[in-house]
Amino acid sequence: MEQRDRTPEVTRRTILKSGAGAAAFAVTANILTPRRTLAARDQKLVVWQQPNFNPTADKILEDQTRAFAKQAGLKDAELQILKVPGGEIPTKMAAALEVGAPPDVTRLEEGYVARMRAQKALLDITDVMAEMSKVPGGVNASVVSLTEEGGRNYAVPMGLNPVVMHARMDLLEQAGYGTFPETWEKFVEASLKINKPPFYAYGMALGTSPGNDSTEDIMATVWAHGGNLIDKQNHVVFNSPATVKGYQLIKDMYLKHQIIPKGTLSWDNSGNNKAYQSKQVAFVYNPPSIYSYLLQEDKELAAKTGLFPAPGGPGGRVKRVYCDYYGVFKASPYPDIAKGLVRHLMDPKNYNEFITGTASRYLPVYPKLLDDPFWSSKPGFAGLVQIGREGETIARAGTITAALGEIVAQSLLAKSVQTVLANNVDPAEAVAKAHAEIVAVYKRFNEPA
Amino acid sequence: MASGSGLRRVIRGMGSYVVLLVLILWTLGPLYWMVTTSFKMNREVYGTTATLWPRQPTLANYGVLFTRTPFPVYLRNSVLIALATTFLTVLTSALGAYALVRFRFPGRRLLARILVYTYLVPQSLLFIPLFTILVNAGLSNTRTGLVLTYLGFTVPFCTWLLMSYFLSVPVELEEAGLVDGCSRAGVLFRIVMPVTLPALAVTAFFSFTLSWNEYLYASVFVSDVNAKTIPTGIPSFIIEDVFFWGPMMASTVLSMLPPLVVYFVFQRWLITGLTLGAVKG
Repeated sequence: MEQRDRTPEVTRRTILKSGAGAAAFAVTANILTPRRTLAARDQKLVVWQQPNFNPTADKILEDQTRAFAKQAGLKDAELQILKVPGGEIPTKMAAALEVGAPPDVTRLEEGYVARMRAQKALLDITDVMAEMSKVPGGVNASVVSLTEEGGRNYAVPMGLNPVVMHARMDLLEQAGYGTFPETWEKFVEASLKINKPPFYAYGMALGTSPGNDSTEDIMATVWAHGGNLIDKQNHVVFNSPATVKGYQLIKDMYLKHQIIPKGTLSWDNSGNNKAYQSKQVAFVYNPPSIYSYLLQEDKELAAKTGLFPAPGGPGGRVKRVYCDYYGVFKASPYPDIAKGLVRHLMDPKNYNEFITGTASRYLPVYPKLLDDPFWSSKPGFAGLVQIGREGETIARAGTITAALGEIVAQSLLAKSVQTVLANNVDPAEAVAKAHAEIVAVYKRFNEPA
Repeated sequence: MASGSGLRRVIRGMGSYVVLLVLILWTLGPLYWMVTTSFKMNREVYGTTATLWPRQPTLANYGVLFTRTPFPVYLRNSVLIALATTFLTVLTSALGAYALVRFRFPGRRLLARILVYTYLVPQSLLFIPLFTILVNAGLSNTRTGLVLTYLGFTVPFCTWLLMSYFLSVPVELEEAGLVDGCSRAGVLFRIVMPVTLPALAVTAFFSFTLSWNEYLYASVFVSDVNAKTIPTGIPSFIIEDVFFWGPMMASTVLSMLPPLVVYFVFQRWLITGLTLGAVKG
């Protein structure tokens, strides 16, 4: 019988197999080793940082946060700065709140402040607000009310977003206008001279996707005629002859004068940005995110762009701002350090460094800082400064609440205007229906309407 | 008559080609647009006229990825997570499938059915319960957490898939191995797995692509740059309402390459594996 050789053979296949096994083990072992520093949430100060347009501003904010953590005696591993793009906030925040692990400090949009305040998720930071109010010139009063409840503050304003008409000054000049029209009447007149389809004059946002710019664009025409969403007592006052005139103006611009592209009804939040950036329209009403983009990517178009408040009318010329806030969550294991960080970031010296670093993305919440030479360094900033000093929130005399945030989030006004433009509903009827829907939302949120 | 039927055949043939052409354009059009956009400057992307070919082709968007963003970190994480998930999935699924197919124990059939049912639960319903588990286990913001999460989806499906392949292996082969002194594990690793290599390639490819492309869980469970994957890094090219298309498309092009390479390398086995068991003798 033939004796089998039992000596193991070392073949190329054996070596390859051993190599593959070792590589797989190395990869898996590296991943599966629990990282204590990353895992132990309760031993860290967690800051969610949303990217700004300017990497310099992002770096300033990060450096300031790290400097503060060092001062507060936190080790590097005890501070976690997480970059969270704005679009991911809703799902991340929902999950984080559900499991009781929200960040300690984060930037919050208006709607979120109202919602988080209603959910009692935010920490009382009245003492930080009080210190900010003592800064010479104080804080822009119109944006503080959103943070208040029962005389206490649950967030602090961190930056004003002006909503501005981005206007092609070269085209206005060619049409014989030295400056941007101050009234809607003149705006339409100028637009008719510029309008040459498929190049349209006004890229008005009228889409219904969540968080769309449409509410701003629609309210700009309503305010110009003297209408409002709510009054000083937060009662819904949308249904008024002034609002109907605003709707009628939109209808005329869209159907009669045809100075608005037909496709705007299906635009998402970036629709007006894309239209202006691709030079398909002459005017759009938007926060200066477009201008910030142009400064980086298309300096030629930036040089032709002017920034102005929306045109006015019989109701005046409203300068519109919305505000972002810093909030500290109750679940924070380091409430004092978290508040200290907000205090540090809002210290006028640090704050001015950040705000000017954003290169006009934000206006300061301290009006006095608008005196900084930075704000007179570009002619385009003149309109912004004006808005920074006189800016009003969407609630105007009233207060932004969770219900108002919901109306904006649902694009309720855009849906209403679309019935006028697409279904030929009478503006008065559409306004009355929208009013009833707004009241219903207020009731659903148990807020007096 | 003959010429009539010939004409019909020609028309039918041309019709098929037209349909095929439309399907090819439908499939390759977006890919072509993605690749060419990655070589355009943002200014051209937003230009007044759409260009099929970049006017001034540039690698600047790729440069931005590697110099001004943490893309290399995202790439590393995606590779590590996908490889670990794939390796552990194949190993665990093979062990599980073999046990379910060859061992007799109470509840075997029920367990096999439950495996399929777990795969049917919608992802969006699970992300908060899973996040709770990860946070309590101290695994949020870690690659380990993501690997374990993905295993929860890949292992049941792949086990179920492998079960049918393992069933097609004649028991006599295994018995011969056992008679020759092979252990159960030896039978699995030396006999069953080598003969079902195409099936293993399919499960590996499935696990790799799932963990490579997954977005929802990765975006909720991970915020730390050091643990983020490519799909969660891409949205950082959308800042508020402005899209930076160039770098976004460049990152998408690069992220598409590893699955493509994996597919081409294992193409022969994949096709065999996908059709294996389609016809039973």
